[in-house]
Amino acid sequence: MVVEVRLFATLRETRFKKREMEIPERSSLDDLLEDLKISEDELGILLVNGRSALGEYTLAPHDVVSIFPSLGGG
Amino acid sequence: MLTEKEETLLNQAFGKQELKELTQQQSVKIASRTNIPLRTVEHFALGKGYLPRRYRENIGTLGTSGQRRLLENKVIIFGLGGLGGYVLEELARVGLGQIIGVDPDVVDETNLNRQLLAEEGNLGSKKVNEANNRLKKVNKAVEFAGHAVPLDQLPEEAYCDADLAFGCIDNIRDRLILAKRCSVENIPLVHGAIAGWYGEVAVVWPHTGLLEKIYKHQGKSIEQNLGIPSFTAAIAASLMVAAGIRILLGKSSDKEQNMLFFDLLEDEWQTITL
Repeated sequence: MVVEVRLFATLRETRFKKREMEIPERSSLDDLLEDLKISEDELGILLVNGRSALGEYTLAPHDVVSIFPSLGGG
Repeated sequence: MLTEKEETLLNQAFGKQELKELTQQQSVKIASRTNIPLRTVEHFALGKGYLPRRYRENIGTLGTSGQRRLLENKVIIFGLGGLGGYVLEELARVGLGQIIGVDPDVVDETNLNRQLLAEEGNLGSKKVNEANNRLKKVNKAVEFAGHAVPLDQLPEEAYCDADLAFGCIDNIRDRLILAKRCSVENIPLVHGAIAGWYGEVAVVWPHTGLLEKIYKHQGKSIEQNLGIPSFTAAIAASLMVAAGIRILLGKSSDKEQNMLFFDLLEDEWQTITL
């Protein structure tokens, strides 16, 4: 199935801004993160179709996944 | 805000005031003669249809009653560094009447690239003292209380009656503690965080758990690699101040669960709902 992945800020480095990705049916968000080689340590915000989602979330065809890194400076 | 005696004194003072526009000099003179704080004098003046000249360029946007309300308000700024310095400056100029500043740090050379309170001539000076000095130069009507202590040593009494809090802290751990404290005290918290070309701003209404959602993953935050340039700090701080003023003027919905994320390298702005 195809999902759209949008990466933000430093997560784009060595990867991409926006891409349609072919992934196995019933993949979870965690599976996708592993594919993208994005570790838990790099995570800030994970959204599916604009809403906050957990790693175990099972993706559906044409879901839009948005991933942001963590910002802590002040 | 005023005792009967103070009101009488001010009415007398303003009875002699011919022009509707009030200069700084006139306000200061009235404050001095009546022994009433400058903030109170300006507040009174606005209520009687006098316009302090120093706020002339605010009034078209804030309205006279809005300007008056801001003089009554009390906000607390946690962190007087990259974000906090700009937040302080902008709040002072907008006429926010009472500001509490919290920062245990002294000015360091590494602050010079972005922190408004950091100057070549004040390295080693306490940031709360520099904040006080800056306010005296920019707006003497602002009543400032500085606390040079870390967050976990700050007693609730110092801020429990604040109308609004600005989270300008430089680490995630303290941000989360702050969010809990503000929720307990029922204070809306304006969150800001920056790194490199990037920044995020959100309003954390009490009991929404929004900041815990934002930092759910507690990953390594990227400013540790990227640092923070001046323009990123200024933009995030200005977004925070605008959000804060909207709240104080009642132009903000407490149902918002949005975060604004900006990327200055690509000039992209995202509104995220969490």
